[in-house]
Amino acid sequence: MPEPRQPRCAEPQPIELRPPQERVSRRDFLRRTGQGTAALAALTLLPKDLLHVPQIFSKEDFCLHHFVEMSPAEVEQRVAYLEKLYRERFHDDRITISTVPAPEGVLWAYALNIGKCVGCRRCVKACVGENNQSRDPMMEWIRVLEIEKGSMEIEGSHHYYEHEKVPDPAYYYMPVQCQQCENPPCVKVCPTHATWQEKDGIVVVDYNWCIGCRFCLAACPYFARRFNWTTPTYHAGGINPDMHYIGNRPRFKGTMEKCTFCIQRSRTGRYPACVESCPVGARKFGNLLDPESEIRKLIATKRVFRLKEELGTHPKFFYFID
Amino acid sequence: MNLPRAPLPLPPRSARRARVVLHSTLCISLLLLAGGQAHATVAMAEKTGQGCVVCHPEDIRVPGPAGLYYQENGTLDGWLEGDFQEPFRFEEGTCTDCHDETWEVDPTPRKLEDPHDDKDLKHGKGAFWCLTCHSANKRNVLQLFNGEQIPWGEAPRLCGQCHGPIYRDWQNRLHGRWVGTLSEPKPARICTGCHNPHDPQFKLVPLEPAEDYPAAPPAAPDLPFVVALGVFAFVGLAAYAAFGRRD
Repeated sequence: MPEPRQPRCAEPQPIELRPPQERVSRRDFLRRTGQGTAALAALTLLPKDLLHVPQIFSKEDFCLHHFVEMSPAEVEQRVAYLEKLYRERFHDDRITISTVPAPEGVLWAYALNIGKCVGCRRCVKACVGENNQSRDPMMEWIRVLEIEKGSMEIEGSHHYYEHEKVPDPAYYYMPVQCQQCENPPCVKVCPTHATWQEKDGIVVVDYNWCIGCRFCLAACPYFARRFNWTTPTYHAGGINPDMHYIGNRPRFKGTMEKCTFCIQRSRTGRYPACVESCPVGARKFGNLLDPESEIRKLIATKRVFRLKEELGTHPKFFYFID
Repeated sequence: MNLPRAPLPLPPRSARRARVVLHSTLCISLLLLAGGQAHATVAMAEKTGQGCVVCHPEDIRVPGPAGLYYQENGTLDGWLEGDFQEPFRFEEGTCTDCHDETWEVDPTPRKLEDPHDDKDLKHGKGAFWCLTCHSANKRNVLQLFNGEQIPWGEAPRLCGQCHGPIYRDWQNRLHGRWVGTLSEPKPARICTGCHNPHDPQFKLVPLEPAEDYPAAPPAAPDLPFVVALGVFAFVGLAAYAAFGRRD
């Protein structure tokens, strides 16, 4: 005889309601709600000096638009807010943030004479000063590669070289920075459109729109993008007050940054800091659409090549030899 | 004699709850303070007479050369001038202080005596002599091959006699360092500003220090994350204290 099947679940027990005197009365409910709210509100009564509210929690940052989509009024408001913020933070009243747009009929291009470069890293330090790059951790947009003479192997190069004096006769030097590609892979992979190409050919980043996914860092074949793994630290008092919204304004943890051809300088008709500071004059900068510019004359008369040309990124950064 | 102690009377429930709330609030604010996520303001530092250095000695860094230059001038223009001195400089018009123009000139190449022997003429590897470039009769000017006498400031014309392609490149801004604006560029120096005319090969230069190696990732979890967890826990506890069921 098969045994009678046991019921799977225990018999349902009748639910015992709590006695009515232990139930929450309306009065209790209101009182406790009030107490809880007061406890939370007590937090906000702490002096604001003690609680360092992160920038991202401010109203201005929370209701922010993409730089391209902002109306002129919004841009003005945003710039005013940031200027106030940075002036307080860096104790420098000279700080101004420009939003100069790309000039018409201009396509910036760069050229570098690897026969002349001596690898002294003056360009790197000028870039650091001009573009407010972090000193701790060290953030440098330009890498000067030291390559053995007779070789074109970038993989075998290194940029941490130390000598008493340069150039070392066994090596030649090849600075690499953002190549401002005409077909930029970093822009293609950005999931939030936080990086884009301006009309004058400069690839820029909206630091507030970047979510820090680092796809662009992986996509760049020139190792030109840098990521803020920690909060950047600056030289005390050494901040460059001449800033651009999508250029050298101070960055923060979790954002990507890169060379912008010194957008705050080039758009006001000045040479980038690395060009001006190169002691041997190996760096050239100009408008690719102007037949009288250095760049056009260089391309016409010198032996010119571009780095990793076979990738089809069409860099606007030319290397040449006299 | 041991008497059974009467249990201590507990403070009323509302007082206990208030104490918990106060304690948590203080604790969290202290945690925030101690965790470096809260910063005493400048006003506070001024009030106490102690700067940020007291707690953050490493935050105040010595500015680098570029930073110092910014501090003083507010721009990078001209920063390099102090670092890369001109290799060669003669004040125009000072040669005649010694060389009287009425002297008879001996044009024969020979070994020079003091004070000129310290400037060995390496240019041209022995093919040149002083009077290749300097005028024999007027020491304050330079002389082209065609006999034209030019001031020192026009030295590129003299150099261009042999170094034609480089002179042309320099005129087209392809050679040398150019400053100024993109619409009005100007040469930072003329030929003799960078190349010593008596020994034109570039000398080795000191270099700036390299970038640091990337630091190892931190082992401990991020502090803001811990703080956020603490805040969540506190809010949960407070909510439980306020609304939780009591048996």
